[in-house]
Amino acid sequence: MKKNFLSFFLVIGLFLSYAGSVFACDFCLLSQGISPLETLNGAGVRVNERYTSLDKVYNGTHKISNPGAKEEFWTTELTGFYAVTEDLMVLGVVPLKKTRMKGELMVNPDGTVDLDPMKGRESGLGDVALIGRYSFFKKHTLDTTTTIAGLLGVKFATGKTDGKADNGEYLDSHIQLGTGSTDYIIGVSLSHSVQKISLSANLLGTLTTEGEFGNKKHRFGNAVNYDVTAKYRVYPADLGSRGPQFFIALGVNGELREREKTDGVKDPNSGGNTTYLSPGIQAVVAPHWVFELSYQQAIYHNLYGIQLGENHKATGGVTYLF
Amino acid sequence: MKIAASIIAIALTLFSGSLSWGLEKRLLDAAGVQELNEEAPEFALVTEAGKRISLKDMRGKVVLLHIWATWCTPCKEEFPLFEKVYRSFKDKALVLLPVAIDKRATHEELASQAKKLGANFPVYLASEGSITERYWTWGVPVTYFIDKGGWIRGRAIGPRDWSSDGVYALIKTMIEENKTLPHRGGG
Repeated sequence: MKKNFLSFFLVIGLFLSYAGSVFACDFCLLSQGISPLETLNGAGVRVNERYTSLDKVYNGTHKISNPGAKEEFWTTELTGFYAVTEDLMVLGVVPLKKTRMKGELMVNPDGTVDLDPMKGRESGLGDVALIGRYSFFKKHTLDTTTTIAGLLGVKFATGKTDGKADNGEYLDSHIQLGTGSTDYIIGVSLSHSVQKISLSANLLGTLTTEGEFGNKKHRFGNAVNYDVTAKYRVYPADLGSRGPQFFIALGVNGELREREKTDGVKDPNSGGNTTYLSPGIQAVVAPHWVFELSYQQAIYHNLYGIQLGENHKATGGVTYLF
Repeated sequence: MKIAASIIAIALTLFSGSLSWGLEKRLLDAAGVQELNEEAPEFALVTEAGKRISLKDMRGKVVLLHIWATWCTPCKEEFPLFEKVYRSFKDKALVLLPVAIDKRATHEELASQAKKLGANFPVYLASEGSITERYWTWGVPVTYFIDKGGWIRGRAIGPRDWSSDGVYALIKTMIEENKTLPHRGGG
C-alpha cells in the first residue's frame, strides 16, 4: 500500500509541475471548489447551475488589451448518481448549455490582435457523460476517515457542433454545445476528514479523440482538471443536536489543457493553464438535501499564444439524496 | 502528449495494486459496516436502576454500542430491528448498549420512549455517564462493533437493516471468534 501511496503522490507531483496550459473548458466535473463527487453512498440527483465569463485577453501569463471580445457560458448540469455497492458508484451527467460570444479575436502573425465583430449564441443539450467511481482505499478511525477512489468515464458527442454566427460562418469550436468527439475520462479522488475538517483533492484527466465542428475535423487538447479543497463545519459545534449543518470551503483548482488541432493543424493560440481560488459554502439538511454555492476567481493564467482567458465562474447546486 | 502519458500513468497506478480482503472485510461489507481496528475509548453508563457499568466490565463479550437520539427519526425506526437482534443474541455473549445523546431528556422519558418503540432492552443516556463525544463525530445513528477484547472492529454510520443476514453473520462470527486484537494495557 505504501508503494501505491508513493506512486500516487509522484503522479500528482508530475501533474502539478507542468508549466503551461488553457481554454474555455466548460466541461469541468471536479474543479468546482466543492466536489460533487464527495458523496460516497446511496443515490441522488444533483442540479447545478454554472456561469462562466471570459472577457480578458492573455499573452502567456500577461494580460493585454482586449479589442472587445467576450464569451459567456451558462450550464445547467443534471447529475444522477447511484452506489451499486459500498465501493462502486455510477454517475450520469447531462449538461444543458447556453453559450454566447460577441466578437472573435483574430491574432495576427506579428502578435497584434484584431476583432472580427461576429456574434453568436447557442443553446441546448451538451455532451452527456457516464462515469464510474471505485473506492479502492478506505481507512477509518474514530476521528478520521480517508478514501481514495479512481474514476473512469466516457463523454459522448451528444451536443450539437454546427452552430453558426450572425455572419453565417460556423461558430468557434468552444461556442458549440458539444466537442463533437467521444472523450475518455480518468481520475483519482482523495478525501481525508478529521472531525470538523475535511480535505479533498481531485485529478481528472480527459483523453480526447478527433471530432467535427462545422465542416472541419477538430480535436480538443487532452486536459487535466485539478482541485484541492478544505472544508470546515462551522455549525453545529458538535453533532449531538438536531438541525442543519453549515460548512465553509476554500479551494485551489484549475485546468491544464494541451493545444487543440483543426484539420490536423495545431492552433498555437489554444491550451494552457488557468488556476482559480474558490471559496464556497454548503448547507446539509439531513437526510435529503445539500445546498452549495461556490465561486471561482482566476488567480493565474499561463495560456499558450494569445487568447481569451476565463475570469470567473459561479456555481450553485442542489442535491437530493434518496 | 505529455498529458496523455500522465493520465495513463495514473490509470496504471490506480489499477496495478491488487488488494486482497480478508474474510472479515467481506463480512463487514455484507453487513454494511466500515472496518475499524482501534481500541475503544473507555466509557461508563448508568442503568435505569442507577447502577454504573463500564466497557471494562464487558470484557469477554461482544458489545454493540449504538449511538442515537430521540429526535432522530431513522434512529427510532431501527428500534424494532434492534429488538430482534437483542432477542436473538441476548443469551449469547452480546451486549447491546443503545446510548441516547439527548441533552435534556431524562432516563425515565428515554426508557418510556424505547418501550413505545418496541424495545425490551435497556437504554442509556450519554449525559448521565462518561462517554466521549468522539463516538458521534460523524452524527447519529452510528453503531460500533466492539470485540471481546475491547477493540472496535467495525462502525456503521447511518441506519441499517439490523435484521439482515449480513449483520447476523458478523455478530455470530465475532461471538464465536477466539482471537481478538491485543488487549488494552490495563486489562
